[in-house]
Amino acid sequence: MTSRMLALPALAILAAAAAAPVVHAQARGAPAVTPVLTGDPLRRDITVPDSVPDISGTWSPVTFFRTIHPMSGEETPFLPWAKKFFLDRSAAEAAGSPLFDPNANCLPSGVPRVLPTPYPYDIVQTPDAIYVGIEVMHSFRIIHMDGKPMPADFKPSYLGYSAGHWEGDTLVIVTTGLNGFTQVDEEGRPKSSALKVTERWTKKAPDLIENLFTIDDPKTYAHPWTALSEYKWAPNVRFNEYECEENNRNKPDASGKLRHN
Amino acid sequence: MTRHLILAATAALALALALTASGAAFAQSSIPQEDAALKRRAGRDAKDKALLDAERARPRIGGYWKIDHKIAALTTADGKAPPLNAAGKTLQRQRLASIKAGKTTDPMNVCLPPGTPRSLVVDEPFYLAQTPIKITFFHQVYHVIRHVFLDGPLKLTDDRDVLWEGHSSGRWEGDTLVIESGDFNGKQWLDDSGLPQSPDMRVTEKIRRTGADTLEDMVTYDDAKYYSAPWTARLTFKAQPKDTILVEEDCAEKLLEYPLKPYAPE
Repeated sequence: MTSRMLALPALAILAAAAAAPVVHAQARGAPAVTPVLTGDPLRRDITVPDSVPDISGTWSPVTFFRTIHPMSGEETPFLPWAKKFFLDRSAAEAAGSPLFDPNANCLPSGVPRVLPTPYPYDIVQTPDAIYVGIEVMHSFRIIHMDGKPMPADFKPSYLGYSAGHWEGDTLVIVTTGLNGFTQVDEEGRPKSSALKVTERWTKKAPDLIENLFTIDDPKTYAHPWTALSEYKWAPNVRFNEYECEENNRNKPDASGKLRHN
Repeated sequence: MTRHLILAATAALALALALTASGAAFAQSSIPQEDAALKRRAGRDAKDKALLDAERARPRIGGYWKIDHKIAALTTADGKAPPLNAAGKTLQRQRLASIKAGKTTDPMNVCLPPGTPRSLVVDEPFYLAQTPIKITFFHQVYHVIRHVFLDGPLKLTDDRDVLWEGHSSGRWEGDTLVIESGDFNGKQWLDDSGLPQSPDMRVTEKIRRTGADTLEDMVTYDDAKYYSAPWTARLTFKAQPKDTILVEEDCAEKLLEYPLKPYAPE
């Protein structure tokens, strides 16, 4: 008597015990299936609810840009301190001695700086949450889709707390709980912990997601402004490890100046 | 034969009762009892039918999990010390000495990743995402993302310079998810006791549900450089609440030479 033979009647009884949360009358003898590694853009993962667009899979940025600025073409509506901050950073960079940047010290790019990501996203979509793997700085966002508000004791962070919901075919993500330690973009637009970022993700084509995101930070900008990032379906792209901590070459000194070593 | 069947039936009934008893806890857990979307879609889309049918027959292992007890030092499944060879013993001794001297050489101490499969051993929750084509681990620790394509056999590369997670490839064998991993950089400690890993280590995991809110991973470490024989550890995980929030741990902050302060005037 093998354990396999014992297991078969056990499974039959388990399956009959409908009240029990059956572990699984599983698939011995199920047909072998060749897994689809590089599905087409219309493929839906099994975890994606039928009622909403499928954004799961690997996506790459259409373009990467180091500045995030209003797509309307207007000037960035800096408050005075923010304008000075931006100009000081630009001047330091032009002079060849860029100022401290947490991102250069292996801290996450954060929201919204990671939205025009230079590296791929890998998205897993479930009814309760959308998991956005971010290759750069090895991090991920969790978009909570269950309507749960940010916990009162949430510690502000680089990626913050993201709550999402669907408005028709558009995924709306509101992110708060952001710390004020890093910039909106690489060029040096600042942000404060009062920042709220509202993203609107729309699948413009089976292989293209448009992300219109609005920066609302009354401590830094005179009024909210909106920028654009787009992601292209990239089924053949595989995530790589990104271990910034092993290449941590430009740590700043106490004055915030970078050492080039 | 009949006697065996009765034994089996009794055992199964006991298991079923035990599972029912844990039903209340189960309802609160992150592990779906039944995937409604899966049910709706199964059989609808001819192109995906075989894939979906196969997935439907599989156990659901997705959800939030955490190791069910702290592990200071890995042992074999039957509780013995791993069979280190002379080179392995020497290296572990050096590492333990570094801890004792207060100057640990554990890579995690300088914010380097735990690696595969130490990220599972660490006492922190993770989300296991299960789809028909891929399994993804999202770990709270170090924000590790580990991708396991269900596309075996494992294809090794020589790209070991950056690979703490290595490359993983998975396949379902009945109700067990089998994951093979290799291509490690060989720098990771397998646990807090500094068990070593060489770049040639191969890790084979056998993951299966063992109950309504428990998951088991039988991990076989095969590394002739540091061990006299392959050995297997048994890791067990407990389902975490559905509303688990993975905390963003920014280890790199502790490497900064002075504290961060907000840019904006407060």
